[in-house]
Amino acid sequence: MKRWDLLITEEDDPFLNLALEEVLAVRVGEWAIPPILRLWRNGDCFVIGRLNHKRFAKQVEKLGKEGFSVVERLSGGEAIYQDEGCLNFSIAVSRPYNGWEWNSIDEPFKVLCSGLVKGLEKLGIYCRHLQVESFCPGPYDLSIKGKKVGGVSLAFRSKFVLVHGTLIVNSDLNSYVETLEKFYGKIEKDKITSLEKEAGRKLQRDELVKNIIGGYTDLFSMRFVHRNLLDEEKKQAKKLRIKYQVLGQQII
Amino acid sequence: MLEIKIPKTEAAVREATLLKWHKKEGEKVAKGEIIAEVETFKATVEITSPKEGILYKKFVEEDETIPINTVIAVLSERNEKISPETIKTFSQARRGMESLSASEDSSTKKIKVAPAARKLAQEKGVDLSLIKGSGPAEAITKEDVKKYLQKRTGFSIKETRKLTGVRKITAQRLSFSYHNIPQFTLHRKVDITQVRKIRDEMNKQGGFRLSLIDFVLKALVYTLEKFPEFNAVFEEDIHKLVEEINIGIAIATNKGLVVPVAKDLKGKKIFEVAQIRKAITEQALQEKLQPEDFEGGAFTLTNLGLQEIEYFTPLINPAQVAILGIGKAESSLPLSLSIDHRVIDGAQGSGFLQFLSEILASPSRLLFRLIGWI
Repeated sequence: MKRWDLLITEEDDPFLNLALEEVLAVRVGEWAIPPILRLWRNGDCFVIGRLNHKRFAKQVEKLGKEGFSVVERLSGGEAIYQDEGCLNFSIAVSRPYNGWEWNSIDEPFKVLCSGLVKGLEKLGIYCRHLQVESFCPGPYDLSIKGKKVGGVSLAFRSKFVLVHGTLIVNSDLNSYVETLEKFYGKIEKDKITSLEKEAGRKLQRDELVKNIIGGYTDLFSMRFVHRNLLDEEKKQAKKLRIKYQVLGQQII
Repeated sequence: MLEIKIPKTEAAVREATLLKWHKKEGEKVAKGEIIAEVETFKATVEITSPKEGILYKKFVEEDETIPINTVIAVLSERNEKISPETIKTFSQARRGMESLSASEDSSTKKIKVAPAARKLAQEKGVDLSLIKGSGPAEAITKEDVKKYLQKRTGFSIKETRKLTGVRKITAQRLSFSYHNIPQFTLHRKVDITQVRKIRDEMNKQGGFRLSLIDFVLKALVYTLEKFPEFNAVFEEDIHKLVEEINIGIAIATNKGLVVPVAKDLKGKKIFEVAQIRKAITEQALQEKLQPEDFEGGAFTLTNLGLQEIEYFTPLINPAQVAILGIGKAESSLPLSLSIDHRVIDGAQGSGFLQFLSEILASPSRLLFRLIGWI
């Protein structure tokens, strides 16, 4: 059974968090560490696809004036808003890994998200990949009954594949949409939902995390080893932090 | 010579944006070394060199949006000479026939595009390199894209109609069906001479008038009881057979196609089935249906017979697994059954149609059933 590292990180600095995505994925690609599943949260911020702040310069400027932090991610796509009610997930595997060959860039989306989808099924929440024309659209959006409950993006690199995304767990959907509209303009509120709304009950974070982990172990022949971030990883991320800062607080 | 291309995808994505070149023209490239980085549908993708060589010529600038599978550069292998004609062929192929007269300088010029123009171009699948900008510093404006589209299509748009309400929901559901359900359609003709006679005789007796579709519905209920795998939904990789017989009936209204559900048809006599069918049809035409009237369907019946159509390809109403279309009724009735191939095979579909046809075609069997039902 192959070992994967499980990281449940509590950093609330969005710039550091996105820098960590690169650090961890690169280390996975160098075979310094096994594949990882990372579950994490950010503070209030907008996260935008790689180099897309240039394309959306006006919107980014507007967010800056309103005091939002805007962070870049290693993967592609438009902007997503994250608040305390969101849970982020990241899965990174090396290329190649355990005989996995990616015949197209669609496959990592499907394969690496399958454990997450399975984990949600265990909670009675059935989500599927379907593009929802609301915010940051993509064919591998996570949707429930045609409403977007999360976004997924991909960094397909020569040495590693990183699939990461955001699930709207229990955000206040009114204020979530209102904030998103600062970037996108008018958004149809009824096209966005949250896991708690669809489950019809409160979801404890531990319960969610446990089931997502279960989803992966059910599908793949692997065992997770829970570990904390290494000092070396934190140190590297601090160095890279500036690279991911589009707008926001001054670098400490 | 090696062609470096934007990789293909399975998703219905036609374009990618070149984010960054990692190599310059004339620079040596090792096998596996990163040449460029592109973005397509939320994926950033590194394009690596399949062999050692020299990056001979780039055809795309950073920030340019280009069709999937475009050759973005060519690599030359050791001591290889590539003729200017070959390079020109690639440039021209990428830019299309319209740019044949363009100068080589213009092919390497960075394209400046207004955000609204880029958005429109992306929506319409327009290659921006084919457009000459009229804005400041020759930037392409939204107006330039509109003019280009007009020129490309050969017509100008008189009116645009944004999909709303029922039409919008129909578009979403049917797109989902078309793209996500591997479905096929079986056609069969059934002799209904005897059924029509029976209907006419029953209608002569006065009272509630039966329509041919009521007989089809009643026969369908019986068939669905015998073939429960058709009275089902397919969700999250699970084929769920449904207990009740609830049949959605597609009805064309002034606001578009609606599919209210005739519920709990199991064990109902033909006049009861007919009354349910008539009630939901009237409510649909009067736009009085409530949200719950659309819930619970596990099979759909659609009819294009009144429009003189014989056979057609009905699209399955997700997450159902089958839909029956009926065509113009004469001495025979054309049937078109679409089936979700993930859960039902052709042989089962043929069996379903055969059974349904036998009920409708065989007067004695039908009468027997009708006597029990009336």
